[in-house]
Amino acid sequence: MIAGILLALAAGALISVQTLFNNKVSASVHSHTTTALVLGMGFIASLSMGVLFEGADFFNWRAMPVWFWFSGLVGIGVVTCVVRGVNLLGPSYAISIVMSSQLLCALWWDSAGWFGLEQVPFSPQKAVGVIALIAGLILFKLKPREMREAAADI
Amino acid sequence: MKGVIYALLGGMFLTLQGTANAAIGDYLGTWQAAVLTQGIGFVAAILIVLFTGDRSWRQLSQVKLPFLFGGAFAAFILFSNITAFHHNGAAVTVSGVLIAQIIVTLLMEKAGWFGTVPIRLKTPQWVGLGLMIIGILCLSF
Repeated sequence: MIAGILLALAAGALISVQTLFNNKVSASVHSHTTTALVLGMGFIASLSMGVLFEGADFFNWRAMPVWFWFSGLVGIGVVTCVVRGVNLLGPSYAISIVMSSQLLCALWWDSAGWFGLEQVPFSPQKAVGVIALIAGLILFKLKPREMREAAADI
Repeated sequence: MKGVIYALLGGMFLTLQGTANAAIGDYLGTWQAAVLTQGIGFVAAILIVLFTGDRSWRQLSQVKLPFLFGGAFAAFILFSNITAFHHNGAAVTVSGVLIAQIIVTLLMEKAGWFGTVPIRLKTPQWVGLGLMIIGILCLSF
């Protein structure tokens, strides 16, 4: 239990570091180049880990549905949008919105049973979650800088 | 506003990617799914760079070396994620990843690490963070 939780926390922390590293790259090059670099690095690293864990078995691929080939295009949307969002909003605020959008889309699609997902009914607990998330986001957006400006206006 | 739209779309694409990767992973294996999706994404992203005439890659040499490897973290993130999932299931893993992500991002930005502009956090930000964590927990379990 504890080991699993620590690993999940480590994964989250690594995503944060990755976000800031990618942001650093995008300060020097265009977001298209940043996206290509990030996906290329991910590809090489995943290939290495796959071969490390599974050896030659890694290359035993079954014939697969055509849509699998296009799923990689979603990754371009992910990296490009997150890099641009972080660039424009700053890391914490951008990541708060990305996470909220992620959770709300998951809730929406789960409740609707889209994409072959097992339909999960909407519950009062989920409603509380949505309200807490959005209220938290709005409070978070009250940046100290804006508060100072507001104070100066008065 | 533009930034908010990018961030919202980014989150939507992440969920779409998670859903697709789960299905592909069940069929091919998790590492195979990661290699397939990132490989195709990489090739398509290179084509976009070529077609848009983006030559900014020449400036990649100005970026300090470690930052170029941010993308490679994906493999370690995936490994931790799979193992954690195996131990505790989806709810604990998803909420753990998201909570760590927002807290660590906030702390790094507060400290001004990796070229970020340090932010000052006051009561509304801490309360907001607390509410977001409650929201994550309510939506994950």
